[in-house]
Amino acid sequence: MSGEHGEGIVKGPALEARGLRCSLGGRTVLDGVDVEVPAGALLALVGPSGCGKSTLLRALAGLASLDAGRVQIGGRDVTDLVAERRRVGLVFQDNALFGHLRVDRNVAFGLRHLPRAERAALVAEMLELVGLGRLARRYPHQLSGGEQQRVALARALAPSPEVVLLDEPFGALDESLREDLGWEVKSILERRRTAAVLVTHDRHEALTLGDRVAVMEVGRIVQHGTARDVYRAPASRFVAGFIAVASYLRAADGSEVLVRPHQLRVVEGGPHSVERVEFLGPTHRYTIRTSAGDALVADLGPDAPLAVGARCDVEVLAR
Amino acid sequence: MSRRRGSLLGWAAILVVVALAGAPVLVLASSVLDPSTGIWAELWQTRLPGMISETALLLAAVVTGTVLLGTSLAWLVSAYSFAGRRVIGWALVAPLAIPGYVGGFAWLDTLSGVVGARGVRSLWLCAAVLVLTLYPYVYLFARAAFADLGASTVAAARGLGTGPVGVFLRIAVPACRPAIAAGAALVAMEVLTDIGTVRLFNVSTLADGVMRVWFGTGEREAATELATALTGVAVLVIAVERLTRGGARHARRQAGAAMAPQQLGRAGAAAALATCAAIVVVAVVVPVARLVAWAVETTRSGPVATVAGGVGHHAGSTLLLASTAAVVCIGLGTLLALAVAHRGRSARAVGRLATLGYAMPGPVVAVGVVVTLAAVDRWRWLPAGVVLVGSLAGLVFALAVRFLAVGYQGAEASLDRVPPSMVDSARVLGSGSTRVALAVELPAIRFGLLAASALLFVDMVKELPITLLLRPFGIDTLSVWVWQATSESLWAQAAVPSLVIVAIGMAAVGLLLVALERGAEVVS
Repeated sequence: MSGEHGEGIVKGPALEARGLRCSLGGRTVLDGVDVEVPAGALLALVGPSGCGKSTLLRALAGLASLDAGRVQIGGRDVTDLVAERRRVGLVFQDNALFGHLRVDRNVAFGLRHLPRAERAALVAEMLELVGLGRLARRYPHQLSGGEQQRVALARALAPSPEVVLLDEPFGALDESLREDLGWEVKSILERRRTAAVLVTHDRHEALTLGDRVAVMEVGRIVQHGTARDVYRAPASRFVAGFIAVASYLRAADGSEVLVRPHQLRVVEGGPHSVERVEFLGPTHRYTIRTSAGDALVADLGPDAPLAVGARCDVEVLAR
Repeated sequence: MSRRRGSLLGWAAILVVVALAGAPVLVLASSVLDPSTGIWAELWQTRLPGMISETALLLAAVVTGTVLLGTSLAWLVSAYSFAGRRVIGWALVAPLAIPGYVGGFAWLDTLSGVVGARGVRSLWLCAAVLVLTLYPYVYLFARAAFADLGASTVAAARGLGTGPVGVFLRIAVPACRPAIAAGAALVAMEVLTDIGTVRLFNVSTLADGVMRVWFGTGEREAATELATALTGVAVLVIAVERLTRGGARHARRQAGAAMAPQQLGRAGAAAALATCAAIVVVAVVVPVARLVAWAVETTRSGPVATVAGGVGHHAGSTLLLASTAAVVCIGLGTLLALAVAHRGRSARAVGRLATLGYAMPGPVVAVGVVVTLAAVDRWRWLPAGVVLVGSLAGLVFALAVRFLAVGYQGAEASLDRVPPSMVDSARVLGSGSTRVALAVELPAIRFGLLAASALLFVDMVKELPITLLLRPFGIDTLSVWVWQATSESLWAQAAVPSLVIVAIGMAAVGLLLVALERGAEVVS
């Protein structure tokens, strides 16, 4: 949401790609993909493994060659430029820090065009930005996983790229660390007003961090919108089920209506039966087998949890 | 646009290196298509069958011995923990610094007191000496592979009721078969290329035949035909190694922790340490002690200044030659590996052609290079007065043809371990392929290159057949000195240069161990 209406200046998209096609070893990996990231916004690109999201990122960076399509970064057509001239930032899951260089030298790697003093000042500024000023003289292997990932971000941001591409940057981290670092990265990107594409297979991460969310399925983007849109009005059953737990209620006319677990309440006694009960902490999640044989997932229920096999009914709450 | 130009430049580099390295091999191969039947017929009726059977027997004995010794010693120091394990683990690599022809004459003299001067000249004793000097190849490869064996794999096998011996035979050896096979192939190549040790023990192998025919009768055609037969055996060895690998490559480190060594009890620890120490004593301490005794004797009886002067001259030649050739091999090998990396499978296949020379025994390479260089000299492409045959450049070229593979494979194996994301990061941060190579890839593989350089240096210092056949006047290396003294059974005279070879070799082996400790890769 941030930079979109930034300073009231209407700016073109930071990144715009049209009709990207790519095949690797005879297999079509990208099948006509369009991507647009407004200036300063974070696009979360989410999809199951093997859907082509990492290839898309590599293609945007110029690391994978395209069969067709154009890529524009900051209004400049970069389709024919090699990776080293595209001026994008890139952060990998395995952080890819240069192990033989100190942290400050890592951050300075992309700043060779600057005079020495300016470079040192910028490196210090970047390390302060990611909160690692005191670790400038350490080597990467002396840092924790989260610290390494911040260095990788500082290194990617240092040359002030138009857009930063993040390939599952939190994938190798502990769950507890992952969420905090995610928010921190988002706020750093907002402060720098840098647009970003975040590739992830974690739908929770995509929904919480992405100003916009693009859902990918076998080489295509099947939906592109705000997190709210994608959650509330998924374009397909695949998107609905991939982005969050989905159940379908059958209406009288035979059509099906999507309901999320928090919209269903289980009550004791009725035509259906409880098939599974999961303890989620604040609530219980019930999987209900309806008399028609469908499965429904509900997060609301009576204070005293029902047992597996108990008879029950469901109530639909308003959205 | 710049990408296209860089790409062409890279391909040009690949092709030039491959053409240079491959030329002598191809020249030799062409002689196979045009055999002189008269010489073949004569060879068949006289020496050839005996040479082939002795070569085969020696090869089988040494490969079997080194695989058994190297693999079990590697397992002992990888799977078990005992006092002194670290030190003895590295000491077991030391025989790498002792050429077979040095260990050979030290043991020959020591043993002839026991079994008599005639009985000692046997194929089996020759095989034993070669096993003791060559097992470190298998040992090093097997240790590296065992270190990559995951703790969880071993724990799973234990959980399924497999005992320690079962884990070794049913899990570790099969999993590390490609690495053991690669080590065994190196051993086989060393056996096929050996001319010094076999001469000491009167074993007439094909390599020995090439040398005898070349020097004795001067029939170059006959020597070339014999070299071709030797190449045939080498090709067979490579084929067997590929079959043993069964398509598997050196196993990559499995996810998770490495296998933890099992603590041995007091008696077990003593037995393990004693076993390893016994091997080191037999392979290193006894021959070196014998050499030292001779050297002391020589310096007492002869004028010290003469010996010192001789050592200075020969050691100078050896160091000059070994370092020049090692730098050429590591430089060209790294260039080739960098050019081949990121260029896909076809580039890799072309790059591998440059390593053909390593599969060729030394005498074969020497003959191939002489034939090639003589042709170049004859065609008068070079400025008047410049002759390649018998020049230092010609000798370095021949050594590079034979040993380029060590530099290339060392660089390639290390480059394979550089995460692709690291190279991609550097590119995205604005580095062209030259800066990526200089600022990221070379620093990342520095220990791999150090290990390969050390290995190359040891190889060069020990090298005999190529140096012997191609050395220019004035380049008298330590190995040639040893060769000349031992072929006249002047053991005491050979002791001093032998000791210097061993000392230089030990220094290089130490460097190799440092590099390996820092995570260097020697093979891909």
